[in-house]
Amino acid sequence: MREFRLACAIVAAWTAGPNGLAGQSVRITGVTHAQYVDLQPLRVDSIPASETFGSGILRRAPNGAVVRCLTGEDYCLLSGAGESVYALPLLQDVSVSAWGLGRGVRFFARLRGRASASQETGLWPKGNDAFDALVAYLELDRGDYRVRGGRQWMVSGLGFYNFDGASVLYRPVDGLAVEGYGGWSLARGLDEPRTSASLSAIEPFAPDDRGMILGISGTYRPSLATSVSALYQREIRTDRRDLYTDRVAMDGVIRRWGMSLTGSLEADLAGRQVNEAKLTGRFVGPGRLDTQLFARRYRPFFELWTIWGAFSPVGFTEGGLETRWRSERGSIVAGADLSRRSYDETSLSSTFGPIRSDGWRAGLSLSGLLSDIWKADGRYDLDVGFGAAKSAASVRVHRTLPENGRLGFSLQAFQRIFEFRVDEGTVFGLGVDGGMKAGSRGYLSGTFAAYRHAVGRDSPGVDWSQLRASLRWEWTLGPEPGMEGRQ
Amino acid sequence: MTTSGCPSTYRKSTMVIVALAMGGAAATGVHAIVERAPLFPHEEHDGLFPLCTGCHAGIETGVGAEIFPDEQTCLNCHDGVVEEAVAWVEPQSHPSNLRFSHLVHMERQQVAGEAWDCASCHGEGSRPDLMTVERASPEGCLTCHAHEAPSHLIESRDCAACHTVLPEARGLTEEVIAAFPQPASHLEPDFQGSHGTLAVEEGNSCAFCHSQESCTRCHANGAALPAVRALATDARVAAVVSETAPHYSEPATHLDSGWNELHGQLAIEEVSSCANCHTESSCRGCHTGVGPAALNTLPSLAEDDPRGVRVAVLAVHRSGFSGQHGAAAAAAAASCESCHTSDTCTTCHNGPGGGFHPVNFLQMHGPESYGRESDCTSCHSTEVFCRSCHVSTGMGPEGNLRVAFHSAQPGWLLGHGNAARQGLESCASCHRQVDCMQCHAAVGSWSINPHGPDFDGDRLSAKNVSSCNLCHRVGS
Repeated sequence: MREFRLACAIVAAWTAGPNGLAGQSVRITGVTHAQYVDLQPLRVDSIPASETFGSGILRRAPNGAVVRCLTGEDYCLLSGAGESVYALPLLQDVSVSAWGLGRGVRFFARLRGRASASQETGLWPKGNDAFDALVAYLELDRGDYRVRGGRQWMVSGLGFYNFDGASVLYRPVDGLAVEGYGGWSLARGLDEPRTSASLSAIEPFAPDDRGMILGISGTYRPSLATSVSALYQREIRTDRRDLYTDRVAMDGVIRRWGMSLTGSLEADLAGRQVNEAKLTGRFVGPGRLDTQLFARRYRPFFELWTIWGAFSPVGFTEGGLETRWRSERGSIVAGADLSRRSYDETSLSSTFGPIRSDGWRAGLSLSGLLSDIWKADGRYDLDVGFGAAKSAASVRVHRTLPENGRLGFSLQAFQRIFEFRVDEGTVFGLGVDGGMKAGSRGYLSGTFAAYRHAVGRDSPGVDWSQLRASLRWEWTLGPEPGMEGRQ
Repeated sequence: MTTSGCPSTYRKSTMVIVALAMGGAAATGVHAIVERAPLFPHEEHDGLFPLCTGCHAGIETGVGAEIFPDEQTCLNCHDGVVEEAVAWVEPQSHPSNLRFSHLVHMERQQVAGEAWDCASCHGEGSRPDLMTVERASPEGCLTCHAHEAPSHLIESRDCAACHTVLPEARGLTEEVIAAFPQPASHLEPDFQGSHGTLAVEEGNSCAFCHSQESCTRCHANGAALPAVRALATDARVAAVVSETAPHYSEPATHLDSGWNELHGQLAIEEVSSCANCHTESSCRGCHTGVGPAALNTLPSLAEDDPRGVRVAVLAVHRSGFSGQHGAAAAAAAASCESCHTSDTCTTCHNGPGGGFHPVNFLQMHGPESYGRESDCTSCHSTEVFCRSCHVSTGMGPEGNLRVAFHSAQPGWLLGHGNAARQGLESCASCHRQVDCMQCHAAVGSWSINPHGPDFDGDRLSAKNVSSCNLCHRVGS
């Protein structure tokens, strides 16, 4: 709550300041989001071994479910769908942008409040965490340089990192930007230090030191056709005893003659490993055939405070083709994609037989305008891998409504093969979604979907039948600083 | 007094021939320019100017500034002492779709061995002793030039009925206007793409056949275009075009492979260009919700208004782009901020609340996470987000590893190594480190070595010895 009070204090001071300053104002945007999900968690149960059929470790219960029986034990274990429980998380995001107190001075914050009416605690991640300051910084932007202080984020080839500290961006010439940043690091995707209770509650060996982050990046974009960037970033314990991360990233895009070439590289300097290297070429050929080819090398990255990297994870090499065709007026868009990945040698044998060392993905899509207001989309995806697989189809028709409204209906059917489980069945889904303006500067949208799991005979009982609903209200208060034209 | 080919005297005329070309017009032969006032009293200057080219040198040289005398020439006599002071302003152009080039005609006459004679067109007055100047007669043109139109569109054959701007050509009916022949330029393949530039450069030409309604039939932003505003409104044209649907051709730029990603940046830089063909509803097909700021500057029309390209590109980004946009975003290749505010990043990258994933993603994310289609950890904490949910829903263990989740393989525990090395991120989404340390720790467990052949323990311990100590308990 300390960040919340600080953010409120800054906004209050801002709004209570001298009113005579030209251009001084505060803009507040909010997103109120409520979601409902009911599901049946997997529950472990047991039955007497004498009631099972078969022999060995895996047997069957009278209802066909697979049970696991250990030699010499009187009871066998099975997991199946438990009682239906629901999760009802409520999120309230508020963004505050205040400007005008001096040239180029701005305060920006994005705050998130949470409440949960869920039936079980922990059913929704961070459902009990009442408040997060996702971003809260003071900014001075004078054109050729920009300074920020506070909680902020860094979007780079490494993804998304946020931290508490300062950053300085310098733009010596058009298209060139150099940025240095540093401060106390935050756990990725958590918006909290690595020492927070959220992490230690689920990970007994969570770090006992928050850590510092230091980084420098450069971006050069001489034209819309060419741009490159590079970043070096290090996270280290405050006592400098251990590194948490030590990484570089490079990215680039070149567009020429109707084609584009995109390359990216992520590397772990501590482990001397390339985590991801990807090259993607895209071109639009005759007949509006938009084709994309990619080659990718991937090896997982783990922060150094975990032991996972010591387990010698292997990576994979992937190649793929994606193509999309559209009609002359763009009223029909059809696409197809195919990719294959091949895993490196694990240098291990397996007593239960070899597992797949490759994976495939294929997809077909078709979209079309049924009229000026009605559109339809259909898609089929097949994903076959060593750990999980799916076969999924969906169809959606949707229409635009006056005043920026929209309404859509969807049908889905999919099969998912669970990770290393005997589990089959098909899930069918029916959904409706829509949106409409709510006032002159608000938008209200919602979804509702019902899923029915037609369980196969071999399923141990997991049931993905569920209802899902969401409601989202976006709203804005305060003036728009010259960006929305008519307003 | 006569001089070479030019009568020595000029007749007082109510019409002044203003050279049919001014400056560049004379050189390029673009326009015939005729002005009826102010008038120059040639007859009152009889005998003073022996040569036409004395005042109208530009006719022969093609230099526009020399087609008419400047005011200083008049002041040589009309200085208020010798002669009454006068004000002289050269006539302004009057648009016409007739084209005449003196230079071309002079060259042709020279080639034919004929002398250039101004009076042959302008000096057939009844008083050759006077400086008589007449407007060239159209009939004179027709002695050599056949009318290009296969037949006259109107019966009256009144030249002025057609050879003037459309609003003044009141004799033309809607039917005649609808039957106007198309100039050759309009049949060029790229005419639709280039007509805007031509309209700016040669706006006068458009006015002979078109009115504002010709343009606003397609251009919803017509009122904001100077070339359109320069045209008059005309009820006849409005009636003609009312039954014709707008037509838009797709510029070559829109077919570029990067167009979808780049169009937002270009829309910010020059949204007025977009507005030539697009209205707000063009963008709403993809930009639902609040939408980018530039969108709000496009014309907003009634729903039944047929104008504005209906964009049917159903997704700006390719399918899967949301999970693959890292490189483009990192390199700032297409300036994401063209469409997305800086808030957009935190909307998705800070966990639930975004709408990044499709509605049923939760049920189907297993294969995608195994295939690492996107970097899950960029937004989700593996431990707090993935693991807590998996444990809560019974997927992940709560200390007891004997549950039957990996039920497909009876010997899973003894042979899970391959799967673990291929998909260790997925393992970590359910299992705590301590789960694995029950067997793999060097101290207090089965001491099963998890390290692969390329494991560099020295390097790892130099970077973070604490993680080594978790299993090896060195110094503890």
